[in-house]
Amino acid sequence: MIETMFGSLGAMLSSPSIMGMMLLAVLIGLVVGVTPGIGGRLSIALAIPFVYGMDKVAGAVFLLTMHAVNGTSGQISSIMFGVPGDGDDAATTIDGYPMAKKGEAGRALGASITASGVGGILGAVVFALMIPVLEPVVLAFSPAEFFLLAILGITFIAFLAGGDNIFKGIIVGLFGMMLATVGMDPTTGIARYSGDFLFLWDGLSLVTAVLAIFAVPEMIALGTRGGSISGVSKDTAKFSWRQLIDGALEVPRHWWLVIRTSIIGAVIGIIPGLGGSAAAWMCYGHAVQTSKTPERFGHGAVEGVIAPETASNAKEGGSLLPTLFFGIPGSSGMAVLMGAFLILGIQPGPAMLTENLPLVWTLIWALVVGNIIAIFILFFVVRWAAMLTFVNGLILVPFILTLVVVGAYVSEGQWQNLVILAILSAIGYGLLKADWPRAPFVIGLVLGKIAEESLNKALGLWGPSFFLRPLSLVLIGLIAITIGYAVWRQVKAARNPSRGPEIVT
Amino acid sequence: MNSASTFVSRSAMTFVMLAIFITMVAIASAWPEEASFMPLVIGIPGIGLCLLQLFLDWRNRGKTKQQSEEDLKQAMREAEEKVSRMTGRQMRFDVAHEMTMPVEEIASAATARGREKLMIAAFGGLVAGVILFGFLVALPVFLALFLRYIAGLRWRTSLLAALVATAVLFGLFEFVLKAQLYRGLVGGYLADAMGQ
Repeated sequence: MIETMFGSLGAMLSSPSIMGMMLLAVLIGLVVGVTPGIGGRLSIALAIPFVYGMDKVAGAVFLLTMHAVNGTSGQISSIMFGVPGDGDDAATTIDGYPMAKKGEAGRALGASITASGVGGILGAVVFALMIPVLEPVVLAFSPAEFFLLAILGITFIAFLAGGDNIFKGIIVGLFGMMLATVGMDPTTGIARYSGDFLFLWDGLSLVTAVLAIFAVPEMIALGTRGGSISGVSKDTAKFSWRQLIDGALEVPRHWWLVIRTSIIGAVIGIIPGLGGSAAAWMCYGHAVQTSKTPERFGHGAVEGVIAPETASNAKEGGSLLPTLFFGIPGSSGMAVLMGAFLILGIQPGPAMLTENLPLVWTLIWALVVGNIIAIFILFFVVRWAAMLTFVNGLILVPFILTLVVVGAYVSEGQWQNLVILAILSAIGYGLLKADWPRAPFVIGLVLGKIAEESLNKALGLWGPSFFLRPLSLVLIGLIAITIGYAVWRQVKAARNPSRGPEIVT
Repeated sequence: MNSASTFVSRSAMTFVMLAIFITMVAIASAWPEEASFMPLVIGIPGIGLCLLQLFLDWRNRGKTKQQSEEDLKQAMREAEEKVSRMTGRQMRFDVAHEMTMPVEEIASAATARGREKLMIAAFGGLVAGVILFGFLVALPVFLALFLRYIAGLRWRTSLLAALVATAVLFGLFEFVLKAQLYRGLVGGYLADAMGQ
């Protein structure tokens, strides 16, 4: 284990191509994080065509690093201008923005950049420590359980999308699974849902489907909304290096809080369905509860910046664990990332432990090294990066749509995929407009083939009685509990409509 | 808008999904058992869930839809309340009570509807343009027109940005990634005609 661990680090650091890809990924991830309208999921979806056909290690490192550092720059606009990039950053705004208004923007940014980076590193450490613990559990899973895991994955991600949307989420997930059956059936040779269209015989292009469901609707919505930020004083963007360094030193000064919130964040990341902004808010609450001077929170307490930032990024390491070993993405971003991994030829499951352990370690190291690089780069460019917040979304739209169309074509070199792109984009935009969750679609599409293979194998080995295997019963119980809890939450919300939405979503 | 029409508009996506599942299940039922097994295992529960969702939509038809994009200050007040409950002490966040908070300029409803149609038409035009005339023609034309007429940039800037972006994309895909970009149905036809 130790040999594999350090061997992977050595191989990664000594490979100029992997390190070059990582540096590029950090730069793109940081820019995407701070630019309005492009989230982490969208950036991965857009990057998939570029890594198509690439060496799987380099491609996976590129995508994971980009995803991991995304949140590190996301909080810049929350702190400097009070405009949270996404749900994770909202908790940082509460103390970060008041700090900036008091003339301490540099200190808040120094603390948040360092806390986020350290959180990412500690999240990776928690992931690494969990490997020997989880190994026997992962290896105990058989084809019967992998079919149920696919269903559980969709249920979790549907739950993640919001309790009252769980049925909509499952419907979308099943739709994705249904589309995964398009193509030649391996047992009978029948071209399912493909007719005479040869380009569909190998199945629906995952790249095209992901771009259509995520990227195109987001761009149409961004173009419709307009979306430039105004009413913001740019004076807060002025700060000194001394302030930045002073802020960075706040992280070691609060080392015990950093360790606790990193562990909480990573554990929340491991539990699929909790994800979202839960880690940031829980750790913010934890920081308030454990502080000797809780009255400072909400008015510019640096711990109020450190705790949510550490947790948000530590969560990424944690959520990689169920994604890689069980095929259950811990968050919607991880769902798209898992789809990208499959395109690269990385199959989540027990084989990651038995055959691909060096790759797992490389990914863990990528989280660590990527975050270190991100901290250093951000320290130098943070004041200029902040200005990206003011980019008019309308100018970004045509360039991203162009990338989408090129990506959908080059993934398989078939122009017919552009027709599929247009059709699925219409469905994707319909889902967005109707406020239906879209992440379960990717899980369904990605896990559909695995689920079918597992189901066929399980039925061949045990017949329908595979549902009664002990581990299968546990998974069925988990599926039932998840749906039951979501229904209970919905009923509770219907009875008490005055209460706002839960923070933990 | 009466409750029945609210139900139809709110449930439009559910009807679409139901139609997709019914069609796919109907097609699959004509295949041999081995090939149709998985589509039926997925499709039949899918139909059931769509019907359940329609029932839920019908039950909630009278209720107005909760505002989905609450303003930042309201969201912060709710967060203040939640954290207070979580920590057991009354919290007060400055950002939830600021008089001047940053705002994102959002287009009015009428402007947004117009823009939405324009955006959909622009995307449809891009896809159709690429299929017919290929990337080399469709991309710069789309970029230049979009930047000029929708984003409101000057002609010179729009043309320059379109040409640079097209050159970068072609360079990247054709020379670095060795992926030949599509020449279009018309372009292919012309190339064939000239070849003959």
